[in-house]
Amino acid sequence: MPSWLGGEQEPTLLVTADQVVSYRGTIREKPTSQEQCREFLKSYADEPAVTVSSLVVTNTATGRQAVVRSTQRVEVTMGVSLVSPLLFGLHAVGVGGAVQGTDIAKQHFLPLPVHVIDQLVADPLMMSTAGAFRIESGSVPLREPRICCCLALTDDKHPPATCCPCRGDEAVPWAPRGRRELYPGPAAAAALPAAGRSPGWHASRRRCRRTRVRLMLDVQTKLMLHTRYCTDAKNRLQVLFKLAVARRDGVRLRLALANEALSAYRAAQRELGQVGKLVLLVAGTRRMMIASGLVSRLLVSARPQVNAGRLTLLASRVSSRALASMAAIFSGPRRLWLNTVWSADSGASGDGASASAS
Amino acid sequence: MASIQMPAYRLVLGSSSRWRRQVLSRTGLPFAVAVADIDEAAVTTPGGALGDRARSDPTQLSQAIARAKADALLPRVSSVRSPARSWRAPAVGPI
Repeated sequence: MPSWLGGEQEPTLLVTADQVVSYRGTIREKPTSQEQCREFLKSYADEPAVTVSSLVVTNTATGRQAVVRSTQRVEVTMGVSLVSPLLFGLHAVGVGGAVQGTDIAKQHFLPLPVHVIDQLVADPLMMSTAGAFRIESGSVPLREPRICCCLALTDDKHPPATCCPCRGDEAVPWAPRGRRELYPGPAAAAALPAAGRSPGWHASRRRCRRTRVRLMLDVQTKLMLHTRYCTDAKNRLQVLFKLAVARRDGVRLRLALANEALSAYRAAQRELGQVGKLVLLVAGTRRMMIASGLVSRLLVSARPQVNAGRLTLLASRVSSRALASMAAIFSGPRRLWLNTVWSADSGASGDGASASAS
Repeated sequence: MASIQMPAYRLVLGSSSRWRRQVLSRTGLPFAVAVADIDEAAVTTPGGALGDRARSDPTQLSQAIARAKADALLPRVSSVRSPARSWRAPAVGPI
């Protein structure tokens, strides 16, 4: 009996794992230079990287090994949902069974902005990872389980973290109270998210790749244009508008803000080089006419984006009449996909409700 | 429905990945960590055409490396510092 086997020792389950990266049928090794690292990162926009992950559980009492397979392919590769298959594998090894297999997942990337690649290349950890492929990089996290591009027009009372699709442990850091910036005007706002030019854009150190712009649009009403987005395996861009303005603000101001948000949205699309999914969120607008007017105006302004993809409408703190009014806009001949979500903070209903028209 | 009672096991994670460590921590199971110091680039598979590792089958290669890590760690497993308590798998139904 080999020395490491059992004996009087308590049996041990040893878990080892490895992931290799394959690109166009070729195994990618660790980059040998920063130039190669940069080349690798750029190439993933052309074709997805294929990650192949194996998890081996070894029972030291018996020497039996099993390769654990999971049905949650992408999550396992990311290491997120490794728990369940691991437990299953532990049981399988412990009781004498064996599960064979390896998880294979394709990782789709948007074209990475130049400044993100620069930041990644500068990270020494990237040189020690095969294919310069490191989801768990601490410097520039590249993925999040869901897409989120968020353009939020809101005020201090309604932070977008309460409605943003990527809420959770990545709560949006909100501007401290009392912060004041002068409204730079429509022209400056329209040019705001241009890639590499605005100092306001920066890669977050949080889990998802995220860039954001904050702009105080109006000093007196504390309105803000808040922009952020991140990408995921689906390779799609999603935009969320949140319109939550104080009741005293007029319709004209809201529409002006909506147009500013659309400008930022288009700029974000230019940076990412693709047409994304548009999510329109109307919050805190109890007056039916305002809500429907906003939606109509936004649909006209965003028609190219809307026609190119699907539109999701999220409604929060909106009266049932306003919601019905907005839904009516989508149920016409526009043939748009609509998903309305009655959020938990809605006064009328605490349950989620959805409607779709296609 | 019969259930299966597992014996008590120590759990050792043979990986330096911080992420995998976090994931395993979420199970609440006590485990120790050991890192296999192997040259992954030296691991080849029979399918690799004449030693051309870049053309290896990625599935076989990843399994081979994971097994090589396990083989490298096995002699050291008994000396790995044990967690505070061993883990006894809960009774489960037929797998």
